[in-house]
Amino acid sequence: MKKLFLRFILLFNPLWKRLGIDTYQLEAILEAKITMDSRRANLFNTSARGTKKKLKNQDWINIGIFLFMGIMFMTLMITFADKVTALMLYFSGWMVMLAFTLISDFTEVLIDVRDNYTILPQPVNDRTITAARIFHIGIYLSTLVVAFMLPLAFYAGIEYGLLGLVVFFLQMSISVTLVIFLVNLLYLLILQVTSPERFKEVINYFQIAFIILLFTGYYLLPKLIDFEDFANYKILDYSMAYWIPSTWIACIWELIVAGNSTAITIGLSSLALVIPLICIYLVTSVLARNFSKKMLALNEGNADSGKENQEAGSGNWSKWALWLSKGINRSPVEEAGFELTTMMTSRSRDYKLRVYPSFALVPVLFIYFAVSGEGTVSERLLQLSQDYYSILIIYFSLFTLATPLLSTFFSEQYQAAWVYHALPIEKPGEVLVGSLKSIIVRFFMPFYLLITIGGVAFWGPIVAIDFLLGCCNILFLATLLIYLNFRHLPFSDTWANQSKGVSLKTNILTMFCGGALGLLHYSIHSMPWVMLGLSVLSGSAFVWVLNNYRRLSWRQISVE
Amino acid sequence: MVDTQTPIISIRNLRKSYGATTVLHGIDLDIYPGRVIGYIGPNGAGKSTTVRILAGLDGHFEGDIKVGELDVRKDPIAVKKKVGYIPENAAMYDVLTPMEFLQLIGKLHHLSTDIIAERATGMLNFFGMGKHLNDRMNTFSKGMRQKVLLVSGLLHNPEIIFLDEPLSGLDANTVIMVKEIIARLAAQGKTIFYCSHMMDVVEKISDRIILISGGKIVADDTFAALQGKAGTSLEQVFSQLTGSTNHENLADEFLQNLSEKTETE
Repeated sequence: MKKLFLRFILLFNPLWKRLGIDTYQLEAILEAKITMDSRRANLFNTSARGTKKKLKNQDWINIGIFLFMGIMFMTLMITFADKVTALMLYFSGWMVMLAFTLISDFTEVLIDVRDNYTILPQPVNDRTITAARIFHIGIYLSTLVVAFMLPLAFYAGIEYGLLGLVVFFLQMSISVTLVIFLVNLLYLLILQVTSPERFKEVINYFQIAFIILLFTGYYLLPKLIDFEDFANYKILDYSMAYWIPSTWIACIWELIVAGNSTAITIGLSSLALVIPLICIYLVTSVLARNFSKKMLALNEGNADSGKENQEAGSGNWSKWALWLSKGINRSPVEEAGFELTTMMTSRSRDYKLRVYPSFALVPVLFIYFAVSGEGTVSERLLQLSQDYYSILIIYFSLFTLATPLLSTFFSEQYQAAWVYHALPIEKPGEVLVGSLKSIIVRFFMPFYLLITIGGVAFWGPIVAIDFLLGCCNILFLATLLIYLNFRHLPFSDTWANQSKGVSLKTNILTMFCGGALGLLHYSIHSMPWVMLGLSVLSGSAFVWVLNNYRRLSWRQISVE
Repeated sequence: MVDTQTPIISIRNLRKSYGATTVLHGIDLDIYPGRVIGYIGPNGAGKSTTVRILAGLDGHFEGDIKVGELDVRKDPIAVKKKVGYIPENAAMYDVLTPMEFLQLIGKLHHLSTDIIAERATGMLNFFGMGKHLNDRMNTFSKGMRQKVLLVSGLLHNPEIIFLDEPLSGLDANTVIMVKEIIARLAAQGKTIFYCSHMMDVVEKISDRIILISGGKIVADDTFAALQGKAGTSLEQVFSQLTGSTNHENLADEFLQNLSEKTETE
């Protein structure tokens, strides 16, 4: 599909030539870039990152996802009686999706340092380079836009004829313009406040936010919305909605296709037409100059230099970690494991991308399960005050230990694990225990403390014992499962293996056993003394497993 | 016949600074065609910076540089057409295959697909890479990448070739072949600008050796002449002129760090 867009661009070669662009070079650059895109792991296929697997046709994954989303959003037009509401939701969803994809997925393409070594030394003029970059973005965007709009374009064409189709195209172009403007603006803002190296860091958090947004929407929206009621909803009854750009875009339809010309639809429609024009003016005249200058700085080699100073510069934290490490570890080897894991997990962007969303998963899952069942949403929310709901959140927090823990065994730079083998480590178990402690201290404990405080405040002091027993159980269970199943050294395997084999088995076992423990806990929930006794038992079991884990020898470690 | 009397590169008072730090403090040089220039100096002396400027990659410098009749600052594109640049530790588009990568580079030099394919296949075959023409480069070893990079710099048959540590990662046989190729290219009248830390290689292949230290030229002569002035091997010449001679004492000091008193336990 991208090749098709490329052919289309090249149709205008005479024009490009007159603009001083070398079309032979332009074609060569774009062809190479498109080939590279199709072999690049994207946001929706993160497990393929850092592998040497031959990736092909990655574009089609993106296109497929956008097409699917296009169909999902198209159904809004059928379910809703009020088309303004339907289109407002359609364009809101679309613009959010496009913005996040642009920010998180395309940034690494936009800022490709390798261009400096490959394209810059060749006799290519600035105009050709700039044109190649713009067209590359254009081609990328076009595939997404076409995939997403196709379903609704069909529907609009069939149901409303040519007029519907034309208006829809107009709305679509306005929404794309707005998104590009916002993304531009955001890049500039980020660049104003951070250095180039931090820039990638910030983008990383956007990716995390996007993943959280996706699954929150997936789990919660269908639960919280009462569709029967909702289908008769009219967005224009709420003046709050007048502030949202997608409402303006939706109004164009109402004005032209439905012929409903009230003061509101006329007003908002004109906003939809005028604001993008202002945006285009701002982008081309004011922002563009600044932007390309900043981007150039980003592209120049300085992205690499000074990285160390900045990244390692979280001074207080590392001092604190070192002090803690001495306190809770038994041997220098254990300390080394602890410190390695602490540093790797706090600096590796890839690790954060995989682990951080699981923290948001806990509250989302909690609400999901809490509101499932009989009755209306508000009735179900009332039920939450029953204190046995605390058990639900306790055992969901198993994710905040299991996910970070299981992810410590993988890394993009898994080859660096040679150090363990080169060093005279007698018991690799010590490294593993140090690493485990780091995860407990860094991820699980802070989170668990937070929900304990929240839980006691919400359900009363009676649940404190539940939280105590839950903590011991989770620590015991996670350590036991890792000890029994998963004998890898930290950061020694590729991410590609994360979603299969032992790793997958451990994940499933964790969920299953966590659920079973939760049920057991629920059955003795009314007996505080029993719970207290079991806490002591479970806590001792945790220490016992930990000691065994520490004694693991080289023979018991699986080496890839 | 190539005119070997007019300089192909002339540098006048070249200065370069990054922010407050000055890297090059006024370099003056005339380089004649058909020669192999060994450009050496300690880490951070400004070797790669000079090469980047000469290859037209960095227009922010003071002084005047002419490559042939061309002003590097005013017409970097025309300069880039004449030169082949083989950078050190270059990042490559490694999801591409060597053939795809070389097609890109060749087309940027306006070569036709057929000519690129012919040249690339020939040269990569020569380096024993014939089997890997269509494998993606992310599985390649350092030496294999270096071979592709060498080919990419020679593909358009440039007049001047800048090589920055070109032998790194190459096996002994390839090193011999590359050295031989450099000699043949010079015999054809091409100019080779060779940056390296491998003194024994520089000593053998260069017609003229330029040593920079602290952003200035501290020596500029043939190897034989330098030998007469300061020592028997280029390594010794290097130490003498960069003011780092007392290596035995320095080594002792280095090992002092490992003595008992600094041990923690």
